Amino acid sequence: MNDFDVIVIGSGAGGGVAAWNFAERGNRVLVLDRGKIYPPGWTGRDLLRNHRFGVYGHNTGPELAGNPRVFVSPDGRESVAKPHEGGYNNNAMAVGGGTRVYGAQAWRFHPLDFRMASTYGVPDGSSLADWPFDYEELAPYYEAIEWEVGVSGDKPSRNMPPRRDYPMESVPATYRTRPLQAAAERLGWAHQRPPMFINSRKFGGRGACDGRQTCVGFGCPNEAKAGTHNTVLPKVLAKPGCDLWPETRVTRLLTDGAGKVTGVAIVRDGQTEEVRADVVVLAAGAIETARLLLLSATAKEPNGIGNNADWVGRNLQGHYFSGALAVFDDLVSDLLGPGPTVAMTEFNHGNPGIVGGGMLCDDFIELPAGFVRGALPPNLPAFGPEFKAWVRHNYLRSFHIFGPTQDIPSPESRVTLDPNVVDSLGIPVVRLSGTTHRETVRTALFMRDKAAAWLRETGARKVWNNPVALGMSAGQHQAGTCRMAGDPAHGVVDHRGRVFGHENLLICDGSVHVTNGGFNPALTIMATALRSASLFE
Amino acid sequence: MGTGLRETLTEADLAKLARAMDWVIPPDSSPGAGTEAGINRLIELIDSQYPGIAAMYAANLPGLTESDLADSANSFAQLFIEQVRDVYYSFPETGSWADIGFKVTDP
Repeated sequence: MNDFDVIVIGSGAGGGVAAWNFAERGNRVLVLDRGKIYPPGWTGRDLLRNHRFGVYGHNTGPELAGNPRVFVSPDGRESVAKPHEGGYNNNAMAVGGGTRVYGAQAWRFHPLDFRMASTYGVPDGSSLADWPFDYEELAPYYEAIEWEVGVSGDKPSRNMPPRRDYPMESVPATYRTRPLQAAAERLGWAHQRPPMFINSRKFGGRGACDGRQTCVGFGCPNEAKAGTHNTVLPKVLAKPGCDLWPETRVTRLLTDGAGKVTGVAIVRDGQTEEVRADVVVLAAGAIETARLLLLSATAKEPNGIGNNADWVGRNLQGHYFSGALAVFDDLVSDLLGPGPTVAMTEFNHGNPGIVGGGMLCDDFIELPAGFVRGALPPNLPAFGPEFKAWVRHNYLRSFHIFGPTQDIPSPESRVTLDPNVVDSLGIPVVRLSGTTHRETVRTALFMRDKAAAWLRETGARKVWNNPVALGMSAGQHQAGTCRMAGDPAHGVVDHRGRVFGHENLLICDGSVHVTNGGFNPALTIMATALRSASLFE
Repeated sequence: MGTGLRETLTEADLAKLARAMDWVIPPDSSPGAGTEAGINRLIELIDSQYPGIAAMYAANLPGLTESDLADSANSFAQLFIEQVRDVYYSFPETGSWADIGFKVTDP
């Protein structure tokens, strides 16, 4: 008998949910994560080193030393990036994965997000495609997650599909909520309160949000923010025969002589071990999942498991966040978290001449250092009395509207193994190269202009924006590197998340997203993982 | 990883660094700007970066002038401005949070 029935690699949004489903059905599940366990109430509150302001480091793993990636910029320059540096495209490595520090917006994708190629055609140079299933297929899984993990929010806007109400009403409004809503109504633009994995009242044994300021990029001090660590993973561990091993590195997938996956090789407490299971679920995020497949070449699949058609690692996506900033005469920030209170869904689709679109929303509370680095108007001195006076007067009179723009996939935006650089275990590291497709930039510019118009209508005294340029898009919303497809010639996994040719190897993270929608992807990662796990008999 | 900037600078250099918190963020009604706590944070930050940063500070801080700060081509001056601002606006002991109304609601 194998050591476990199921091994799940990664405990974030996808892995945590897949593990929960397998455990609920009586399987002995082992969850492996390279990150640490951060205790309940952990916040990681170093305002210079976190996943919101990462100039000097992060507040979760991986360690800055020994875990590099190679980044190739759009102009071809190579650099070796540390985890907190931009080219690394990091997501939190911790038990709970990105859900430990995410902003927790809990969006369903729009129905047209699943049919991008059919709706818009395929732009030259793009690998845009439809998902192998549609929104209606995923809808029940969305609902299951919304009620299991816990989503707060209001009715959907008029251009979003109807659904069952969430288990909780929206988190409280702030100073700017009503002015933003009124402006949207004057403009005739569809809007709603953003859905969030944040308790607006007691739910799931956790308390309600009490408005702390550091949400995105940090842990939640009273665990009102739901992640896998405080929802589904405890249920996994309550089941007999299930376990979770933190700080455990998976170095490759194990296979038998016929190429069938039989388990994983790991390094734990400095020791190399092999663990066997009937089923292996990869959920390490779009970058590390692709890396593990590429590292696990066999005689049958010499370019990596699932990679005989050369799709593994391609179509790396994330989200361009474009938008605008503004300063108002009146106070618009009350410093009560989480911050996002009005979302614009008018422009997710149906924009003439634009492929896709995106969602716009007011931002989380701006950290002071982030504010002075990235939210100041042009031509303000970088230091001195005028600089300081401006910050003092406007910190609470300023906010940012932005949101995820539909990323148009490019096969050349990709994850490969670097031939020269290795990590602390001597294993080749990831090499990230290519850019998103130019249509993404066009869409981002379009969304930026809409954000500026919304801010002006809301009464802003001055509106400005940051530049949008062609570049790689991955990071915390990373997706696409093991896309779902109808057949092995066009992707890595089938519609059930199983790697083509490997009935017992599932991928349950953003890697499988054919496109990444115009919304934050966490709920879709969870729902797709739940569907794939549920369909595994 | 750190190289101990405090040990590599002379007393005069340290005094200049201490003044810098008030120099880049000039003295005004702000509480705490340029305090020892703020300087300690700044040095800690510099020391936590790769060794080249501390060496750069040791080499360039003594000669840094206000006109350098206005020179966008002076890479050390621009780094210096950013790091002093980052520290000033990231820790309550520098006084900035009280200055702008930010207050972390933790116990």
